[in-house]
Amino acid sequence: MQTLVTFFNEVGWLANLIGIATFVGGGVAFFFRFVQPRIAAARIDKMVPADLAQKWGESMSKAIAKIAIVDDQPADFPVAELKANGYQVQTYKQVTLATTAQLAAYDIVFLDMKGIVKDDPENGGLKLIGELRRLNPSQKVCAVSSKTFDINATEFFRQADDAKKKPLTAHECRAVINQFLAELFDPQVIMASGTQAQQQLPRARRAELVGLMTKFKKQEVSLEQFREGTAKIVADASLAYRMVNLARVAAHAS
Amino acid sequence: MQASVLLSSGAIRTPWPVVIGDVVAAAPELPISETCARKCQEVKLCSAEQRSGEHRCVHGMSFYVTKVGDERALIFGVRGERNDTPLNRYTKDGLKGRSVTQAAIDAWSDGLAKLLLSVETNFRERQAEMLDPLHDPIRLAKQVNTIANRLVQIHSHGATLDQQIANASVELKTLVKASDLLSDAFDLLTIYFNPNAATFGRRGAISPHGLITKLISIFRIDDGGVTRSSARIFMNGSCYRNIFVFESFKLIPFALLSNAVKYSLQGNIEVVVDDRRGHVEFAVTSVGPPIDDDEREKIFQRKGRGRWAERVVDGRGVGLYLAQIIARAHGTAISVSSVRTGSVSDGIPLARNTFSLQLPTA
Repeated sequence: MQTLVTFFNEVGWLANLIGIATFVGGGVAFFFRFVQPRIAAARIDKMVPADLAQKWGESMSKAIAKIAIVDDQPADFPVAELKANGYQVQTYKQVTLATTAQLAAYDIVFLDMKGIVKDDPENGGLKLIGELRRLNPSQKVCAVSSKTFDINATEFFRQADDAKKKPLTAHECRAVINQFLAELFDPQVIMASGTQAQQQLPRARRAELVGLMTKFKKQEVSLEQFREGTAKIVADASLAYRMVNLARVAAHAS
Repeated sequence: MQASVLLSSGAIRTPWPVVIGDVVAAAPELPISETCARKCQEVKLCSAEQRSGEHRCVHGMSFYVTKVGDERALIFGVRGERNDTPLNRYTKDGLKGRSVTQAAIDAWSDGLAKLLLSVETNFRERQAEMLDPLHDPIRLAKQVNTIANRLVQIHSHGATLDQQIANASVELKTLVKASDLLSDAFDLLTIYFNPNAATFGRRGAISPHGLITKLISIFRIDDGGVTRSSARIFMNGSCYRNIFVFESFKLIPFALLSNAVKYSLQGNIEVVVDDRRGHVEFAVTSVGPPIDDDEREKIFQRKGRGRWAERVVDGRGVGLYLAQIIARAHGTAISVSSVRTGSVSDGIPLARNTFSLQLPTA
């Protein structure tokens, strides 16, 4: 230590300054060249535009949200009016249990209980809602059945996020959908999901996810590929779907 | 069906002396032990035990407590696996030949539970089949109600729906009233058959004032005697806050108001909706047959009717029962007060009856 002090005392002040500046500058350059990109590459919350709350509105949620109506009597829904209002609605008179994964990709599902599953017309709706819940816990399901008086249907209604009597008016449909959209795509919800992922996922997974999100944003991967990729990176199915929503919102907002 | 009902029917035989609910059943193969008969003639000491499993009483006998369905079952006067009471001249008659194991008790109670479940499942399936024809009428009732309200909006004038109803033609008013009452009656029927339906869907914010105003405007419609109407309904109190309730909640004021219209014998019907500290209070008051103290719980039970009410008009005793189910689904309860006025109408003493409930505000 004494030798080091003696050395600095013996050289001039300019040489001292250059020596210290070179050391500090080298450290800063190293941080920005190697450390900072690694930190930034794992910041999921930074994928969301800072001004999302100002930018985002109901019309933007409508533009990205996919809605499915699964009912053997589609006339009970004001489909044309909803489409005219800008909602992206797809109707299914019947589905099969084998195609549940396809239905799980929708953000909102209006689901009847009986007669809608080809393989099991009696109890298909109950099986389907359980499977949808398992595959996509973030999905919003509105149970639409006049079977409320049937005690055997209780489990079906209990698993849904909301329940409505048919036929639904356009006003009722819009109220349900807009409430669900707010719960799915509200900027506060999206930011909270980003923060949660940031805290829960290990750094390597976050970096992998941010990389995939960037590719999705640049349209290098499709929504389907992005969804599959996210499911492989994030084990928690609910968080995985919310990460997909976060990326969809981020991509649409920017 | 409950196990005690099955046991009291005599349709099943038990291998041991059993008590389920208030029903005591002796087993033909294992009559009641002499010790039990001698020592516990009136009061069985074992009957107070609530913990499941094997126990021993002070007289040296074993007893088991188990559950069958949602009822407690007591198997008494036996010798359990853990009973180490020595056989002597006092105990041998009570214990000999009465060995029972926990495994045998479990197998018996499981079997009985399976039988009850099978009866219950069968009943539910049959009920669902029988009620299936209701599916379309419920849909159609809602459709008619929606269209009736839309017609009022198109063909009448006024700033609010109740004003539009008031200004509509007699035919349209009658249509709105009939379709509204029909739709609410179907909703009540739904809860009658499936009480769980009271909590279907999610809670939403509603204005109590708006709900009651619309309901009163429906009840006030004079449809020429098609339904019993009352133009004597008045609203008091002030309420500007919202409450978060299930869709079924609207049936409570509907049931209370229907009840008041049905039993009102003198004066006006008063509906109060008032903001209180932290909650909203609903109250419906009318003058009608008195509700005696011993009837205050009975009238909220299925098919329960007051003795004076039965003399006024026919009824099935389901309206208040269903309203109370819905109130309980919202974590509250309807209470009733009845104060005699001293007047008499057609031989029936009159009382000022108030049905009220409180709900926390949003």
